[in-house]
Parts: sequence; structure tokens; C-alpha cells
Amino acid sequence: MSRTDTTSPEQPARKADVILQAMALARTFQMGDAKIDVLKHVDLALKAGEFVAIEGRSGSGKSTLLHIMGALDTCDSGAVLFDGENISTMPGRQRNRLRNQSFGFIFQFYYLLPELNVLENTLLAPMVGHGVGDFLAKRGELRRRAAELLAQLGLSHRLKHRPGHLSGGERQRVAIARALMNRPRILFADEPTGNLDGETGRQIMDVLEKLHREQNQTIVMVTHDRGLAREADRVLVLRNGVLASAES
Amino acid sequence: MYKLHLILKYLRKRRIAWWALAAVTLCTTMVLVVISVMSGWMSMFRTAYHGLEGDITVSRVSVSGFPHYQEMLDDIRRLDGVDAAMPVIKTYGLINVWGQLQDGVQVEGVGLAQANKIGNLVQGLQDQEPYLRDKLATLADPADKAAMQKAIDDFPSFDKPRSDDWYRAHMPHADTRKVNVANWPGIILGYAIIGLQREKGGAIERPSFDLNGVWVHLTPLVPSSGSMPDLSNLPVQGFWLVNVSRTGVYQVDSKTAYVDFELLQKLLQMDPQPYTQDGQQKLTSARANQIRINIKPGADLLKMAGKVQEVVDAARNRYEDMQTQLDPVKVETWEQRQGSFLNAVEHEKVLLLFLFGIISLVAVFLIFCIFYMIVAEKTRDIGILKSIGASSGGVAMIFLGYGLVIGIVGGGLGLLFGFLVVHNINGIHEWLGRTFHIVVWDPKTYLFDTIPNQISAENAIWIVSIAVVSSVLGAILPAMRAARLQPVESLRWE
Repeated sequence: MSRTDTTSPEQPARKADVILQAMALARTFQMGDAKIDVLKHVDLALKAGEFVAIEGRSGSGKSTLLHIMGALDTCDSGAVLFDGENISTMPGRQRNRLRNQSFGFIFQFYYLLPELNVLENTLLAPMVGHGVGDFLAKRGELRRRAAELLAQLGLSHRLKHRPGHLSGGERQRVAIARALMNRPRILFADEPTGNLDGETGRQIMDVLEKLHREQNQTIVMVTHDRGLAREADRVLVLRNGVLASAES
Repeated sequence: MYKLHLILKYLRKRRIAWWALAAVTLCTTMVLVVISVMSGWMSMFRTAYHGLEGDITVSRVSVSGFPHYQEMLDDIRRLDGVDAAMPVIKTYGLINVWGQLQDGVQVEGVGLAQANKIGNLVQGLQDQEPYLRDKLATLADPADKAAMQKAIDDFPSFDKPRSDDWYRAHMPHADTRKVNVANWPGIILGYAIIGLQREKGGAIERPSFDLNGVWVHLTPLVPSSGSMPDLSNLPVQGFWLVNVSRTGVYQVDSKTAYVDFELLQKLLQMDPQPYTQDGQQKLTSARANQIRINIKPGADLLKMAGKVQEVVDAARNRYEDMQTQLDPVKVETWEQRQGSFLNAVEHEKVLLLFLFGIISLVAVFLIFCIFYMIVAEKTRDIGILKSIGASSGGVAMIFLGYGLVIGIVGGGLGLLFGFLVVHNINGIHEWLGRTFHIVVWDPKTYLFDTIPNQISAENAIWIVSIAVVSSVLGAILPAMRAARLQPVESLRWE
């Protein structure tokens, strides 16, 4: 399934295909007196419909890179372009809108709201994106979409259950449903199987692959698991703050 | 949409918020109960004391009173804006009730027909006309019936409602001393003097015996106009109890006896007394201790007091015996007369408000701490919300809205509990006394025999509004902290 990256990450991709582009990203963390350069000079071009895996050891900065690309964090220098627009310099409101409408996130620890049931957690993204009146007007349609997504993920019998009553795999599938609710252009997955056993992790990967295959979903996944990374179209390795292709 | 949804979810699912809710409810209840009782007490105090002596009084401290009251009374009644005016004699005396109770009391000589228009003495009498009519229907003896009918016709009065024979029968041994008890006049006693209790609903209890058969011996303190008091010739007068009164002021109801004005005037030798001047027999002017005045609705109290003062000044200029150097006749509004006490209570109210200000601060701080804990506990949720596009303002609004809802629900519950407590406060107090022997409201201390149980709508609105504002204030800093959190920091929160 996986294929080796044939273009260098530094090579600029053809503009028409590129959906997201990271250019010379740098990020330093201050830990007491020490400065740690997590990202030194990272370039990356992501094409629409691509499934890219970023592999790296724990603490290599791959999650930081994902957060910066997903407008959850900012870089010290460099730029991230989404559809040609620099998201690093966007005002907060625009970045919020981007996270709500164009990006979807899946995290290692699922991050569901414990007070909400499965259906409500899934509806959270459209709830954030709509005002009260707008949401109530579209409630039926949105609930139908959430129920369909959850059914596709095998959770139709769990709609009214709260996260505390679900297994790890089920929680992650709810998180995937939530991430997909607003039909994101890019799905960011941060160690999506990191907290699951092998079998359940496999099921989650199957869901992501199916999304990519059947719906041409653009996915950026970071993982420390080389085996999982190989399931992506393209594998990049983050080492010493620099991104390189898997074979370099 | 998510803000409203999460506020309601957090309120229902987060037990810690219930503590904040309980704190707001308790504080609101407590402040409402105390302010209502305090304000009610002030209001009762003002109403009762206003009712005791009318709007304006002309008086001297001395029990010997002042002369020429009738001339002043006539002038005062002619003043535009005066509704009614009456003379009163106030003195002290010893009473012996039924040979079972001896006590020192304040004795007031009043004309009950005039008192009907001034003060609340007549309204507070236990036996009102309908009761007397019912009693009339139960009487068989024609002489008794005639006496009762006269008492009804003359009501309010000191008329005895029974026949002479009935009274003689109630004091058989009096004949042996050649005392005609049937001639004894009527007297009204404060209900607490003879140990009657107030029943639920405020009415005075009716004892098993007939109160009309109770005799009272009164020894009033006769003021001496000479240089030496004459203590050897104190008059003792017998009376029959014709009614009991309740003004609502315990100190008055436990220490005041009322008799007819003219009778007391004679007993105290304050009626015109003969004297010789330049070989001619003359009469002194009759004396009274007070003139009580009620003004017409809408008339300005202070202006009317000024006009009454002019009348008194004119009398002082006209009559030499009014020109005393000590203890001159004073004109006071009822507020001026109770000024020292009213001011003390007002100051106490300010102190109370200050104390409640501190309590409110404690409530705000409590809400702040609880919300700070909630925000700390919900830090990761804040990260999740921000990761799916929630704005900082939106996150802040969740916690501010949460505080607002807690304030509204807590304030509302506090209002409900406060209303229930205040409305039933006398019942609760009686139950505490009966069950645990706890007496919080001693009428000897607080003047009134009932705890005020009315909530003012204005006070309630203010207190609930302050509870809501306090809740929002307590949530502001935690909400700002939540808003400032970066999504990645929040997601990594341990």
C-alpha cells in the first residue's frame, strides 16, 4: 500500500495540486535555561487527496509540526500556506474558522467531552460553526449526517452513550466522526492508534484508509510506528528538526 | 449554539457547580431573610410608633403636664391640614389585678371616641363591636342586655358591658366594706399585662374566665405642683376590666393601662382646682400631658409641626403659667420624638449592609474558587473546543454564561427559600421554641411580639440582582483565564 516518497520535501510541488504548504518552519521551546530547536527548517507540500505519514521518535517534534500545520499552534519563523494563504499570519477568527470548516483533528487520547453523549460529541463541530438559530434550523439535517457517519463507523447502537461507557476504539471512531462532520479538506491525525491495542489500532487505520480511498480524503498522520506509516501514500521522517523522505 | 449546550450540560452533570449554586442560594436566602426581617422590623416600628402617638405631639416631660391645653387644642383643630387632635394624660401607677397581680404601669387617660381617629389603640381592642353583638345574643338578663347594648352603641368607650348586679355578684365581699363596686369605671389593659398570649394569626387568646369580671385597683402617681410631694394621700381607684388592647408594641402592651381622660384628670387633680387670689376664689386651668395631632393625608408633616409650634408659642406668650424655664412645652413630629431610636436603628442597618457586603464578597470569592477549579478541570475540554474552532470569546462566554445561570438559578432558589422562611418565620420560631426551647425573637428586646414576615419586592429584586452580578463577577477571572489558554497548551494539560 505504501509507496516511497519520490520527491524531496524541499522540492516545491506544482502549485495547482498543493493544498497545504509548509515553508522553512522553525520552532524552538525554552525548557528552563535550555533552548530546544524542535523544528529547524521544515518544508512540506501536501497535495489534495494525499495520505501523508510523518514518522518520528517520541519528542521529535512531529506533533508540533502537525499542530502548526493545523493552525493549533504558531511557528517562530517560516510560513504555512493553505490554498495559498499564509495561516501563520491570519487573524484569530479566521484561524478558528479554518479549524472548524477546513481541518479535522484526531488525537491519540480521543479528546471527547465526557459530559456529552456520542451524538452530541459528533455534533460539536457544527455546533461551534453555527449560531443557535442556524443550528436549530439545520438540526435535523445535521443529526442525520452525524447518525450516518456514526453508523458508517459501526456506532449506531452507541448514539446516546457517554464516552466513559465506550471502549478505546469506539472513542476514537467517535473522534473521527466529529472530525469529519464539517467535511474537512484535510484530516490531521496525531498518533491515532497510539493509545489502542494492535487489533483496534488496525481497525482505526482501516477506517482512515477507507476514507482516503473511497472519499479521496486528504490525510496527514503523525506516528512513531513505522509499520503504520508505511500504509500512507507518502512517508516523511522527522529527525533532528528536519523533515526528510523515508528513504533519505 | 455550543455555548448554551455546554452551559446546560455542565450545570446538570458537574456536581461541583452545585456547590456554587448552593452557595448562591444560601447567601441569597440569608440576606433576604435578614434584610426582610430588619426592614420589616423598621417598618413595623415606624408604623406602630406612628400609630401610638399620632403625627405630631405637644408635650412636656413632667407628669404635671401643662395648662391651657383646651385653648391650644381649639386653635390647633382650626388649623388647615389638621385632621384630629386630642388631649392625653400620661402618668405612672401601681395596679392590683384581681388580687393576683401587682405591677407598676404607665397610665394613659384618653378619650376613646377621639382616639378612634388618632393612633391604633381602638383598632387593637380585643372586643370589637361584632364580638359584643354576638355576646349580647347570649345574655338572658334584661339589665345585662341593656348594659351591653349601651356599650355597643357607645363603642369605643369605657362603658361596662354588664349590669350593676352582675358586678356586685362578682365581688360579694365588697358589700361588707360598704364599697359600691357597681360604680367603678371601666379600664383597658395591655394584653401582656395579664399574661394573655397571642394566638396564631395575631389575635389575642381568650381565657376560659370572663375578662369583664376582672377588677383592677389603680394607684396613680399624682403630680405635685408644690415644692414638696404629698405622698400621704395617694388615691386608689377600683375599675372593672372592659377590654384588652394590642398595639403590637410589646413594651406598650405589657406596661400600659388606659382609663377615661376626664376621670384620670380628676384623680390626678389636673382638672380645674380652686385657689384664692387677691381675696377672690378662682380656678386653675385644667392640665394635660400631651396633645396628639393627626394631620390630613397629603399635608406636610414638618410644615404642620411649624404651625402647631406657632399656636404653642402664642399660648406661651399669652399665659404666664406657661412660661416655665425648665421643661418647656415641646412640639415634635413622631419621627423627631422617636429620633434617637430611629437613628440608632438606621445606623444598625448601615452596619448590617456593610457586614452583608463582606458576606457577598465571600460568596463571590467562593464562586471564583469553584469556577477556577472548574476551569482547571476543564482545561483539556477548552483545548478540544478550540481545536474544533471555538473562539476565545466563545470559551469565555461558556464560563460567564455558566456563572450567569448559576446566579439566576441560585438567586431564584434563594428567593423561593427566602420567601418560604420569611413567610413562615413566626411558625418556625414557635416550633424552635417548642421543640428546642430556643427563643431568638424576644419581644422584650425587639419591642414587637411577632417577627416581621413580609418581603419587599424592591428588596427581593435588589438582592437577586446582586446575587446574579456576584456570580458573573466570580466567573470573570476564570473565564478570562480559560479564554487565554492556547489550544495546544490546553490539550497537553495534565
